[in-house]
Amino acid sequence: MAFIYDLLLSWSGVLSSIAPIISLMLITAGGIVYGLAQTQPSEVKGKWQTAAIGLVIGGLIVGAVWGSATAIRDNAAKLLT
Amino acid sequence: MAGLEAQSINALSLSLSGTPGSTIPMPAGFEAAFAAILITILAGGIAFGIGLALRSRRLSGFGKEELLASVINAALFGAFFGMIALINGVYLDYSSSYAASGSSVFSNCTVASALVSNMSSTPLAPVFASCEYSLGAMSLQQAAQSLLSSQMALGYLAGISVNLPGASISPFAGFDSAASTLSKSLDAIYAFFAAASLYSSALGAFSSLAMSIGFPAGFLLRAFYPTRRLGSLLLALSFASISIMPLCALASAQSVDTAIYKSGQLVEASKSFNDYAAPALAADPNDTGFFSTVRSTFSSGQLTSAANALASAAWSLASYCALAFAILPLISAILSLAFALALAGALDLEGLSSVYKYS
Repeated sequence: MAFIYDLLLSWSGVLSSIAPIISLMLITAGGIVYGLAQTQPSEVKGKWQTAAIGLVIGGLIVGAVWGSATAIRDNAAKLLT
Repeated sequence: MAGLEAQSINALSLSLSGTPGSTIPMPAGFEAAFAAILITILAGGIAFGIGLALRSRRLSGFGKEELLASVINAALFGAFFGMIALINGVYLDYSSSYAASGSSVFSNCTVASALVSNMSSTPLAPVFASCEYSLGAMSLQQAAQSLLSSQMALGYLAGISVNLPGASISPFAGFDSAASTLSKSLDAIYAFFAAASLYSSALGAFSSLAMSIGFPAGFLLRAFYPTRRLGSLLLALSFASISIMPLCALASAQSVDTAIYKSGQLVEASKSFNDYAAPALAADPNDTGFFSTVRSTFSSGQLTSAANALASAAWSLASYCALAFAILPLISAILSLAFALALAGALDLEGLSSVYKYS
């Protein structure tokens, strides 16, 4: 069981490491796309801006879940007690 | 990360104890399941975020569902300790109401389960239930031993024949029917002894397996999407084996108590028969006083009464054992299995997928 526990800890370590990177990448990509949207003709600018906002919101959600994952789990564990 | 995880587990253990200063350590093997919940929260959050970013309803729906399933899993994990406390409370209430009644099951097995009451997060009802059927098996074993000696005596007496000039008399030939009843009863009592021993072992083994493997593996497997159904089934089976099965055994403790009482009656009847039969059994057939010994034993009529009482007690015990050690455990096993399957279906949360319909 200790082997499984160590394996799971390493998995959660990997996910905890890549989550902020993904978050930053999405937010940065969202910013770049939003900037590029300004250079586009008006008939397609809206689509570019929507995609950019989606990227930023996705990045924010990944960051928020990463930051609060332990708190979510610990508080959820007390929901029914 | 490992340090943070350990702190988090300690914090949960502290909060679950309820009383400051006394901590309930998380049982061995449960840390992995708790770590798995963190993984699914992170994975669900990442999938949800990327799904939103890439405008993939399939990925974002999957992430949302995994997040929700992780929260439910964590809530179930936390409630696990509460459920054990609840079952222990039911057991303690029930046993305390019968403790003063002089019942041998409650007086012996309450002490046995009190020995583990200081061990945290240990379900007490399975300890009691295993002890209850173990006591029942022991009493049946004693009854069977007494009955065997009486049956041998009865067989010997039934075969005694006294040769007189011109005639041969078998004074105890009428014991044949009693011997036949005893033989059938003895077979039945041995079978019920085996059933009681098996059920006692099963109660103890299922409870130990549930606590050491079933629950940790169930929570672990339930955390991940592909193994959620298997994890739910394991959790449900484990919960049934520490709750429904032992609580059914607790509810049938009165019948086991009666079986133990009837076993005692049978042992007494057997002793009484053996006492009355002792002079005839001890007499030497080649001795000149053998005929007078046999005649006095037979003519008193007490041996015949004792043999009939013994046969009646043996048949009564064998009949009652069918209820206490076969029918009630069978009902308990069927109820537990039905409960486990229903609970597995409920924990499976198939309805959750249909709510989102992301695919």
